[in-house]
Amino acid sequence: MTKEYIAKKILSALFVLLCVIVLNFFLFRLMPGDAVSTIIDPNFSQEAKEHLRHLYALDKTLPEQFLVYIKSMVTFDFGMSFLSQKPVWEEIHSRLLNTLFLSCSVMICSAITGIILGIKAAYSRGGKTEKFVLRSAALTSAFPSFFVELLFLMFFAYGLGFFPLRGTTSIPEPVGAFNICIDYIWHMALPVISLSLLSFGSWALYVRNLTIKTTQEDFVFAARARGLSEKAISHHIFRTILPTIITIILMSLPGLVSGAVITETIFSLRGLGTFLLESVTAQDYPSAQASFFLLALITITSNMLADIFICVADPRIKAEN
Amino acid sequence: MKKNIIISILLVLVLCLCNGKAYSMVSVPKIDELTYLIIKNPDAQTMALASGAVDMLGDLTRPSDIELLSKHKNLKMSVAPMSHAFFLLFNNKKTPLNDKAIRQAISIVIPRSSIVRLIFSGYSMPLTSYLPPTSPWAVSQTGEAASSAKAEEIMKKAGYSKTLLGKWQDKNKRTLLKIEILSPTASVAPTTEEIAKDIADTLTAFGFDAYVTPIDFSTMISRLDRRDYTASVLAWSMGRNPDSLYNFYHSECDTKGGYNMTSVSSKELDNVLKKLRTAKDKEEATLYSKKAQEILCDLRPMVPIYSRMSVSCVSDKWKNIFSTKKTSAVNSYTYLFAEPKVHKKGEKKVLRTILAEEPRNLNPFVASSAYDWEILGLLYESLISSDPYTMEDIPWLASSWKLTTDKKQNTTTITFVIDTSVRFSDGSNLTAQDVASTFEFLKKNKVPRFYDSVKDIAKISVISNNKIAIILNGISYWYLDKVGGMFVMPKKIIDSVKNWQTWKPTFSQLVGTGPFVIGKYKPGEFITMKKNPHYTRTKFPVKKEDLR
Amino acid sequence: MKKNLLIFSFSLFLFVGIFGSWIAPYSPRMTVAAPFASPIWSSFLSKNETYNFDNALTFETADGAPAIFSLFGTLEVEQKDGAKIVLTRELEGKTDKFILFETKDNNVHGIDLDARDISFKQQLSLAPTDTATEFLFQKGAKYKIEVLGGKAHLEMQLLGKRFGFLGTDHKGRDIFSIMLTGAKTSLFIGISAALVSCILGVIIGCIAGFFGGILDTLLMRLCDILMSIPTLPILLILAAFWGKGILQIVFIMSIFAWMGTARTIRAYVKSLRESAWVQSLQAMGASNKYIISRHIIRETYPIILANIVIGVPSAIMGEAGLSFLGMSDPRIISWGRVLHDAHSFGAFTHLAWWILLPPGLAICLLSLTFITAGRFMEEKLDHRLQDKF
Repeated sequence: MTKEYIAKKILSALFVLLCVIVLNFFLFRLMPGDAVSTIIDPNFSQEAKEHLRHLYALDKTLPEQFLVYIKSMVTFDFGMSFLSQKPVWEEIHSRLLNTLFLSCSVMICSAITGIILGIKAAYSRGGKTEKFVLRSAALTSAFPSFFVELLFLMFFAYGLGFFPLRGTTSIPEPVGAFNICIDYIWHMALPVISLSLLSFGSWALYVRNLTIKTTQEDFVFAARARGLSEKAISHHIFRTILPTIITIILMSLPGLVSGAVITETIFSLRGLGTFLLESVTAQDYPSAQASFFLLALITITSNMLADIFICVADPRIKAEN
Repeated sequence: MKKNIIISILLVLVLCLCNGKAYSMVSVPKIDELTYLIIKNPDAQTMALASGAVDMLGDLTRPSDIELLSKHKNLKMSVAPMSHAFFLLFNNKKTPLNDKAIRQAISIVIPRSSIVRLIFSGYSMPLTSYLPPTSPWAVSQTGEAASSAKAEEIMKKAGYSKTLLGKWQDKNKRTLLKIEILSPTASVAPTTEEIAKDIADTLTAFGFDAYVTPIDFSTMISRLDRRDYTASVLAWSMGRNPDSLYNFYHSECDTKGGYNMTSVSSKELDNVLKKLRTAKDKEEATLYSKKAQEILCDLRPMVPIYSRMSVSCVSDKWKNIFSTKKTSAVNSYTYLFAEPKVHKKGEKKVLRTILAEEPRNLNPFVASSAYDWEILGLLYESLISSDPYTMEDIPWLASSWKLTTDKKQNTTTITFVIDTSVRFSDGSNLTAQDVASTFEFLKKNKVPRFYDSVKDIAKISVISNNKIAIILNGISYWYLDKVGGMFVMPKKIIDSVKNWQTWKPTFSQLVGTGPFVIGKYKPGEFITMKKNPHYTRTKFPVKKEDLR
Repeated sequence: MKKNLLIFSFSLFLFVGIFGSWIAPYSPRMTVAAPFASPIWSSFLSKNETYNFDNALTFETADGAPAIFSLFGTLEVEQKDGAKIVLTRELEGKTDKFILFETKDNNVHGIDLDARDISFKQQLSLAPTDTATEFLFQKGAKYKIEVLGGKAHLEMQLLGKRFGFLGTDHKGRDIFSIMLTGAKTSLFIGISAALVSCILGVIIGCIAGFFGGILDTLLMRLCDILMSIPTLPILLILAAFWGKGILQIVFIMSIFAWMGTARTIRAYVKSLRESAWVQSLQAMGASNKYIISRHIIRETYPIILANIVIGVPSAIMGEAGLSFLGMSDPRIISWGRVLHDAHSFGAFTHLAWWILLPPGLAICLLSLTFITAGRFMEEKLDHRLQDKF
């Protein structure tokens, strides 16, 4: 039963991926103009432009281009970027690290802060922690992320100078692996802090609601009646809500990765988001398609994993399905 | 006796140093390393300069940055013209812009100085000529101020009159058609769209019905290609030589995708442009370029608006910065001669500057962006260079050349004498074979970026180790600059390239005769250039008083 | 957020949204002052002053140097050896004279001087990057500007360093007026995007929930596919592709926002379909169309309202995000665009907080208003749902 269910989920995820792949192709080909037509240089004649077009395979028919495209997506060989004439994969994998580091750190920071605060709030109902959680959840969900990041940048980086203005390393480069790590963390600190500050509120609220609901369940009542200590009960409660939390963590990843475009633009980080933005602006199809495909792949995979995980871990939900 | 010898040696040294041109007694470049920090964000660039994290910054575009930095105590600013030109294009085949009088009136009524003030806070040059201000071939401009009275005179003489509402109408009392001005969007070119709006407002106030349509840049280009537009704004960088006027204004180039986007078609202009393109010597070239510009100033197929000026900023902790009225402080001679004012013995001399975008590809056959070539331009040199004061051709990798034309065969032959004392960064000497193999490679593989420079080469013959003759089809004075401006690579590197499109050169394969080699490159962060240990050039066309 | 505060905030935004462009003191598109002028209440810098005079004028600069100095008009030369315009400065006993304009011929000249022109700076022997106004004008000095050798009608403008209730942006436009005019755009886009996506969601959810079967599976598959596409990237691509007008942005945002509503409505309609009274309607011979349009949709009104109100903040923030990245029509004034201009045109290096804070805080307050309203509605809705079943 479980295996069948997992197989079904994987199949449906693959189907969705296929649709996204086809959409991806047509999205860019239907855009007017191409990468060569925007070159305006008196020393670059018509003939030279035609040669360039041939190089980029822009003179092939649409069906031919589609076949080339499908092959490249499936084999993860995304072809050559128009802008740099280097393999797209090479361009992407150096940037993927920064985006993933940013998203994962934010996820971990906000999740941990949120969980701790949420559980505390659930246990001290009506107390200061709960009030704080409720208020901050309400407030932080209203702030657009880029505004907070801009504020932090202006205040802490330009104004007070506590953090660097841009990038991921200082120049000259620090020597020694430990120093490089510290330098990297110092550079990523401001984006991670500002994003975490915005997301911990809703995390804390969600965990608080979940915990409260769980404490009202029968098994807790029974456990108390049996005489278990509060500590043991809280362990049980935590174990109960853990699968849901992990599922939500998995489902929050796509949102973080796609929202990275704005963060990377503001803090001038070299990541997948800015790569997508640049490629779209420059009509660099191979790069834009590849980055969009990767982002969609991450989204679909996270959702699929979340679906499968919640069923495997929490038998109650499996029964509902 | 010994004392006399020492004194005479010192005298010789002093005499040499006092000469107009600078002779370097120490090898150049004087710095050990040149580091480019890759900073895209203009705010971050300004802050890096203000805080001393970098020593110089080349092209400052925002007036607010210029004002902020000029108030800084430790920074020196310099301003110089560039080869940039911004035009208002007209579709000469569409009403009402097919009438010369209307085009001339528009050219006179546009308030260039007020545009320059409002949008650039004064840091641009109002432009009325068809070649950029840096070109020695540009016909000198008259400082004509915008005058709606003069423009009205021209319109009235051509038979137009104003309706009661103040709009222009033609002889048959019909109001003129609308003028739609296409412009790239503000996200691509923020100031361009504002300028287009100001122009439309001026034309509307003058009596036309003008408005701006901002569209996606490549959509705009494809519309210009199809000639599906009425008016448009566009800017580009022009080369030094006026033969590019042919591409822009000859009727033969009025094809889909051709550069004659204004559909100009004038027999007189065609004639002059053709003669300019095939001019056989400097006199003919000067004569025809002047005539061509005169005709253009009368026809006004497009209207030049302004030319951006380059404003650069250098920290005053450095000396020997080369700048003149025509060149801004950030240039290759500065990289050669700059030295820190205070220097501790044993410390590495590192000059830090900013690269606004990443160099995407360092394969010189494929690299296309200005940032790629900012780096590659320091690695490679060409046969001929240009004097920063007169813009004339000066010998560089070629110590001399001779240009002869054969009318019967319709060929041009340029014979170069190569300076074989020049060495590549791997120690080997430059020979004529290296030049020949580079040019042949570019021609055989039809490498797009250099295609126009090599496509007319018929034959390359190596006469001796230091002499090479290049025979080109057709007669043209401009062949010299085309051939003389291409970079030179060593033969053994060229021979090792199997597929030039996918060639991924290691830094040790990027061997050139230039003053620098690539040291370290961290994508997205910085790229460091190191001194070329075999760079032995000592004579440079710079005056000592311009090294400050 | 207390109920009264909520109502007040709601009505304030509604009022500003509708009447904003009429009550704005200046046109939001015109340059009215110097770039990056700070708010008039923030410090004691120079203010705007305009003078019209014929041949001579005396004035003082009590608050310090202006940001922009301009002189415009006509000069008719009367004397044979030409005419000139001279500025005399008296400060702490020292007198300096500056020749601003000189001509040796006998014509009528149009005067168009501005301290930003490189030619003006060269006339005063300054370097092209010096600030001529700082050089000429000092705090507490007395000035006399006079025309020698001719007759003139001149207008002099001294644009100061502070202006307006919220200062100016990089082009010298009044931020307060921009904020008032921009409210309309943000509100319109937010509300219409939420409305359109809700309507779409209701239609699709109803059809899927009521009819079930293949239609249901297909529509939910479509839902899945659209939910798997990363939102911001696709919005970026579509905005670059389809153009950046208001209607396009509303359309694009709606396409990717209907899924949540559709799922909720589908679940609700599915449960309704099994309920006794719908079955009784069917037994009485009512057509599907009648049941859906007359009864089921009515039941979903509270859900729709709640979803719209909750959808507005994300639509507003989505639009602000797109404008910030530059993917919106720059001819349209919106709050996100002000933030984009602040980021691209140097507000940071000037520490021009007056450009950054107002739009951001306004977006926050607007979102907060709608979110709180949505929460109130959801609470009410919860009770209703619980009551019913």
